[in-house]
Amino acid sequence: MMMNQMMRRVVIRLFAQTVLLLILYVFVTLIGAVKFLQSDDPLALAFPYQQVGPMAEMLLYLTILTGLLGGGIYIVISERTDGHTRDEAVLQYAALGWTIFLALAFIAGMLDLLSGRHGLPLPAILSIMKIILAGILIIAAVRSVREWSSVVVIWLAGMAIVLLTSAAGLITSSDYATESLIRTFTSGLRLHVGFTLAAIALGYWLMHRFSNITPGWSESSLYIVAGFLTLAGLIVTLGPLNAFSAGPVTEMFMRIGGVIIPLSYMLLAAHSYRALSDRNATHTLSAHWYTLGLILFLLGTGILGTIATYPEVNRWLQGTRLTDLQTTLVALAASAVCMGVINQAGAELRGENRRITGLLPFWLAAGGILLGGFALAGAGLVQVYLERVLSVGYLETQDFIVPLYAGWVAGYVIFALGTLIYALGFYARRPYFTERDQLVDG
Amino acid sequence: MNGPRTFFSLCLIIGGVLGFLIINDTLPEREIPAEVVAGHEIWRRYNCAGCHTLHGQGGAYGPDLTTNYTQRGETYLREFFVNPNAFHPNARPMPRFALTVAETDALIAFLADAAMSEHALAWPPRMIAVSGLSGVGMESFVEIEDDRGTPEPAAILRGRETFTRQCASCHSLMPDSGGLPGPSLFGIADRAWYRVIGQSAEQYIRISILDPSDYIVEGYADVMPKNFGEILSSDEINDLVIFMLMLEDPNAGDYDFGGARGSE
Repeated sequence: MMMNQMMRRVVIRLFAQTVLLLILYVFVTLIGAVKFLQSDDPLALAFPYQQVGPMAEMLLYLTILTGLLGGGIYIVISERTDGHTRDEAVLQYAALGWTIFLALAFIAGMLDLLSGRHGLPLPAILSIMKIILAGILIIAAVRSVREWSSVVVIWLAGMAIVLLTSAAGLITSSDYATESLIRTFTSGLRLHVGFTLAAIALGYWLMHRFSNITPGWSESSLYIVAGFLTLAGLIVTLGPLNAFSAGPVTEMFMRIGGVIIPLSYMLLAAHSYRALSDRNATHTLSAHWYTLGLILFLLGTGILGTIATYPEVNRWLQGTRLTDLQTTLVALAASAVCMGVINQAGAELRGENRRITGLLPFWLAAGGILLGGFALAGAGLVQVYLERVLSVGYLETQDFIVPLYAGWVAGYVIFALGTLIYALGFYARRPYFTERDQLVDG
Repeated sequence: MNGPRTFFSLCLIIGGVLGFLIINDTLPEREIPAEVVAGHEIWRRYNCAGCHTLHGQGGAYGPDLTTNYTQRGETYLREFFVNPNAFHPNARPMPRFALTVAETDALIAFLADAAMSEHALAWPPRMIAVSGLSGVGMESFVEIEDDRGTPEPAAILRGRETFTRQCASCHSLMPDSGGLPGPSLFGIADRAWYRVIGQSAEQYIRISILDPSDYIVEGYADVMPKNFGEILSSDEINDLVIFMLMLEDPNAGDYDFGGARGSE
């Protein structure tokens, strides 16, 4: 349960990068959202949407990936080893390499070298670098595990799926439809199965911290929930295929999604409710952030995912703000869990049982995400009705929903404020770098 | 503990099998013409998917382009790529990519392939218009046989019928007006898109039918009836617009667009 200084530095560096990436994501998204307001855009040519959109998406996915790496490594090292690993030097250099990779990815975004909208639209060389470095970080951390808990197994399974789908996403094809199928399928699996499993594993670790649930119960319930979420995630991934490549088998599975997806997320909600209703004396905000993540998962996959996967409905929604919102909500759900882990682990690394980032940034982030999300949902509904049902032109429809885009911008302004205050709190109460190996047990 | 762990392992295995089945259930292999492959490369290079969706995939900042080729045609797209913002001056800006002629050809071939593919006929459920209240559904493009047994989209045949009934007494479809009171509509599809900057060919033709006084062709009087919006149904007007959008001039490439633009 101890963590030496070298490991402490690795974890804190990953947490700090996660917070920084989240801030960058929110601000780049805000720049992109303002472009939807149709007013004169001073950055129309200097920072066009074709650059802003992929960059925002990349920053969000790197936030999740870095947060999940940091959180998972913290859990593995602090709980399942002797506070260090056999490969400390490897881990340290891989963490340094990860910092360089993030800097290069940001530069690639600024130089407009990203391509497409499929989660992590990095140039191939950076994608390979990402897979190798993340792989080294994960392997170096888990090689010293003494006892494989469900949290570590599910986190590892989720991260393995993330890396495998990232590798599969590098396959190109001369046929646009085939390439689009590969990109859509792999990015969907990465988000709805890989990131989701890893985030839920960290969520269950948080449950251990903020509630009185027994280890035996959480061990078995995490495996069951993760099993259902794997199937649900796979089916949600099929939704986008409906527009260009779904055959009868795929369509049949999409129909089954109408049962599997809500069932899986109801199970997750029931387990989470049990933990949330039996809180212990932990004063960090891990329960708050986990609850936000849970709500976003329920809205994103549980409700929107179910609706958007049903074939007859999906045909009308594909490519609108609603399908865009669906994936964004799931990604933000995983980010919220990461924020909860940073909050909890930050307090533990300081040896204090208190919140390190405060309630204000939590409420601002939650309010901003929900306001922006509901505005986008409204925009998506109006878009479907005008553009798809009444066949009103795309440009006229977009003009009509500008007020709803203003709500989206307002939501992200609040969200941005929340992330900035969160970052200030994280910096002000950053974990000690010196050897003060205490533990807050919750 | 073995039970839940086994359940999770089973779900992973089932997921893997399903993934394999789904991949096999999707796209058949097909021969892709070299020009379409080159167009796909340009689509990637200029990150078109950063703003546009194709088959619903991509950024949603610009319109979906799945049926764009079907709606606009080659001539319109060729001119559009030169200066996109001239066509929709008050809309979201699109960068000028300074495409070469070969790149333009390839990109148009790519969009044509996307629009004509089997998938594009299945999606979207109704045509997504870039601009204008088109009200045109995909069912309009289902092919039926004309009186000579040649398959043609149903809308074009219906539009031709409406034209013969309502318009042919005043407008010729030959290069000259033939002494009729209205201007010839020969090649109107190639002219309509540059008549009014920022207005599509579809919009121009639709407005010309509904409010003919808005655009008077030089040398002709404002004598066209103003009541076509009342005597024709919206479906008949849609079909008529689609028919007129097919009236291309084989020599359109020889026009001096720069001099003619905006003069009428």
